[in-house]
Amino acid sequence: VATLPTVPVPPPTGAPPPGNSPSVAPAPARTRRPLRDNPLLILLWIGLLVVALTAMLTLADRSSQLLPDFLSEVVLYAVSVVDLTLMVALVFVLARNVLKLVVERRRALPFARFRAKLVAVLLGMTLIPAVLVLIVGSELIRNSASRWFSPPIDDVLSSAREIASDYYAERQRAVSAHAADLARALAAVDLAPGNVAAIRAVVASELAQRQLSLIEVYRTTGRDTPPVAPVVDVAAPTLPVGFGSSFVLAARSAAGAPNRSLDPLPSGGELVRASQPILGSPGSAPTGVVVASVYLSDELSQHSQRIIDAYQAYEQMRVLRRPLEGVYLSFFLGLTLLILISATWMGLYLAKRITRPVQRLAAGAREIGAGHLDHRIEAETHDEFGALVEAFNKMAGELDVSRRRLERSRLELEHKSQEAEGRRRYLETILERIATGVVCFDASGRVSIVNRAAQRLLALGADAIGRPAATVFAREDLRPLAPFVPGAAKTLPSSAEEVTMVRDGQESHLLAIATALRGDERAAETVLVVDDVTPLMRAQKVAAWRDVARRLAHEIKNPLTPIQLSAERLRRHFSGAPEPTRRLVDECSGAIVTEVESLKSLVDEFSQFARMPAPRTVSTDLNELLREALGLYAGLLERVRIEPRLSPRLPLVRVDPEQFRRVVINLVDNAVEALNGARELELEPMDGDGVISVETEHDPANGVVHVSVADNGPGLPAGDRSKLFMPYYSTKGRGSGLGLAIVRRIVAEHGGSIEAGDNAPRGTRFTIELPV
Amino acid sequence: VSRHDGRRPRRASSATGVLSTLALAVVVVVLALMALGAADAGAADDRVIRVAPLARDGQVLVSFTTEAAINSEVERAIQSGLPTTFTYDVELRRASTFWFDKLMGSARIAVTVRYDNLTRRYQVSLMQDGRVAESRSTDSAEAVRHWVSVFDRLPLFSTRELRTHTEYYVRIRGRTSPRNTWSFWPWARPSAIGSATFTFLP
Repeated sequence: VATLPTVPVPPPTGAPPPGNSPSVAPAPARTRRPLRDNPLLILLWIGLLVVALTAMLTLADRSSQLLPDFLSEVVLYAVSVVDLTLMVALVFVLARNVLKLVVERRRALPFARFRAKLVAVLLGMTLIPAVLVLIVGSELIRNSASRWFSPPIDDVLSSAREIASDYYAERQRAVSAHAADLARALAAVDLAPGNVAAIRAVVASELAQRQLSLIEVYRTTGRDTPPVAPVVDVAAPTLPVGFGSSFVLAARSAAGAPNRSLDPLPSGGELVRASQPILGSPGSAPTGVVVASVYLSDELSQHSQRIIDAYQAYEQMRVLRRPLEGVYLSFFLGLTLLILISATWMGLYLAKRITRPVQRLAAGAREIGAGHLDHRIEAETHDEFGALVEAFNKMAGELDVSRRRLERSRLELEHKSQEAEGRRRYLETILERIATGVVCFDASGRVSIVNRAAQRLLALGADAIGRPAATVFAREDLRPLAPFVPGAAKTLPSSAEEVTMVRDGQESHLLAIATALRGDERAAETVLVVDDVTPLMRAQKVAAWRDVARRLAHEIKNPLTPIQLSAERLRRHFSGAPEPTRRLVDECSGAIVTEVESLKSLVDEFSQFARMPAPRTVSTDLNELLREALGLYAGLLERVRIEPRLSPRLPLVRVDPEQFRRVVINLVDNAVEALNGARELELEPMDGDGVISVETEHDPANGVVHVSVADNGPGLPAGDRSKLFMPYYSTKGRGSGLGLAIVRRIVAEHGGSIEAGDNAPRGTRFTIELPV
Repeated sequence: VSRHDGRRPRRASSATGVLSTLALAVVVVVLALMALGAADAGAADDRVIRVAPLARDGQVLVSFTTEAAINSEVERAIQSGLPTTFTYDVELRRASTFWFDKLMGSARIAVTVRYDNLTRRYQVSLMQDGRVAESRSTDSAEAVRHWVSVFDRLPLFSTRELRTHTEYYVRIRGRTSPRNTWSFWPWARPSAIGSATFTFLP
């Protein structure tokens, strides 16, 4: 059996390199890491948080050093804004994540419950203590604030403030009184610039008497700017240098109203000043202004200022108590909110950090389950989750390699299957096309294969397949093959044997051999091969007959002439003999000559049979050839009608026209003789004329042309059919019996065959099959 | 992958429900704090400012008086030496039926009172739009009370852009700083408000 060409199997795409070790899984494409997973960003966020906490704590710690109004206005406002921002952020974070969790739960995403639990636990663990601390802290702040103020301190500070204020008020009243006295004393003094000496004398005297520190005298100018002009000033020796002018104070009093001020000195201490307009006469316009000043020492003024500062700070704190409480409460609230936001964010972050790798593993498992074995998961961490991801990727890689191996094996198997299928078809084609009959029997003794040649040779139908071989070959005509059938024979013949079968009176010779196929331990299958050797046998017989004919022609023809000549010589010799003798001799010699002539004719036919030349074939229109041949019988036959039924689509066939015309004439002659013979012998009643039909038919499937010559005569005995084409066999009792033998020989030498059979409804049909 | 067997979704729902409850609690606390703050801010006594606008000589002269501009708490704050500022935001607007009222002009009047506990004198300074307009000193608390609550014919706006025979209104919102109350809501409501309409007739 020829092997089919091997189709090379291309390696599967992406096949792993040879070797048993699994290939390294391809690294998954690195996706951009979310910002929330950026360690730098996380550190930055934590740093900002720490800075914010530190700033708040520092600000709270230094709040005592800040001015109360700054705290209550700027700091409180800023902290409140921060608190509100944190609240909005917290609400946003919570609402967003609650919504996300609800959506995830409704979508039945994995780990939504776990994430919700984790966040809830962390938030709950933080929220409850934070709110409790906030409440307790608020109460502590409120209680502490209330303790800042107590009646004894109130009394002390108020009394001190009253003392200081009263002292200053007393000093101012005294200075004002001195100023008024001075104004009256200077009322009669001319304040013109040229009278400075007199003024100074008066002022110096008053300075010493009244124990003032400084007296300044101004005169009015009568203009708006400047309303006054300095005239003289006299200072006590104890007054530190560097005191400023009282011009502004004097200018205010120029309109007629007294005034006073408290001016600090650069070297420390203060000047208690009082201004008094100088009226020349009651109800008249001021002519000048006198300013009297008393020096208060630095120590005294500092003590007074400290008393006032302490009092004011205390009172301001009392006034701003609620805003200050608000500042500290806001600090506290801010810290609480920061903790809550951090806890919420941390919970969400931890939940994501924990669940995301598992989610990705689950998603990866789904991808692998869906057949996407090239799916990989990027390991984001190097912890246990990272190891788990690596193990998953390794498993996926090994699965991928296994699948590729399986795919390659499948392709190889498929290729082998295709190859086997090709071989099977090849064998089936051979089995169907070969002239050798093949019958296969399975191990159970049933017919499994019957090829077309076997169906033809053994007259088996397709229904034989599957039936027990013993039943199929129990048929009468197939019994000679029983020894070759498993189940029917105990042991199969070891060599090919010739078997003769008779079917429908026709004998055929087969060469049969049965072979058991022992491929494995199972029961054997058997193949029966049968070859039709009938044509070979016939050819051998024909060859033998040709040899006989040649020998007969040679051995018999040679003595016939001397016999004939001798008989004629005897007749001439006894021509003069007495009548009885002469008549006897004439009768005998005439019989000898007649028989010799007959023998010569017989020998000539044998000689012709032996010396038949090889056909010289040309492409021939068989229909035309048949019409020409049948035309020879036109008008010659009585009560016999020749009906040509020629196929119009007959292809040209390569035949020797002369030899094939002889074939046709022989067959038609046989048919005519059969019809005439039957009519003469009245073997069977003939209804109407005898009919000889000559038909042609093309069988394109088998590539042959059929030529049939049929008659409606008495037909052939079944037993004579096998001998019909044998030389020297005739049913007519005359002739050489070589006609059909010559017909078969001519047909055989054209590569065809001839069969004789019954015609329907009656008569004989000769069918010639010629290759196209 | 969740199994819809009627059990796991309920457990998942409980976990999410707890979280939702906690989140709701936080939101409720926050809203309560804000409401308290707003209520505290709104608890400040609303005082009425009587306004009398007058268009004359190409200017809109605004006179206004605040009732009880200095209450006991403010007086206490002044007496504590805190520089106390009375700020009045004056707006001249034209009413609009279908849109926001058009702002024709605005001015800010601020009166700052400082009390010296040593000398028992008040220093009062008046600022208009950030500029010091006047500075006074007095021993009289009544004078201070008058100066911070009564303003007579302040030429605050020009009439050049006013339409004749059109109604305008002057709205004044007053507030005192520093605040002596605390509210969680940082943006406190004005402590005094008043408005008056006038028809501009050149």
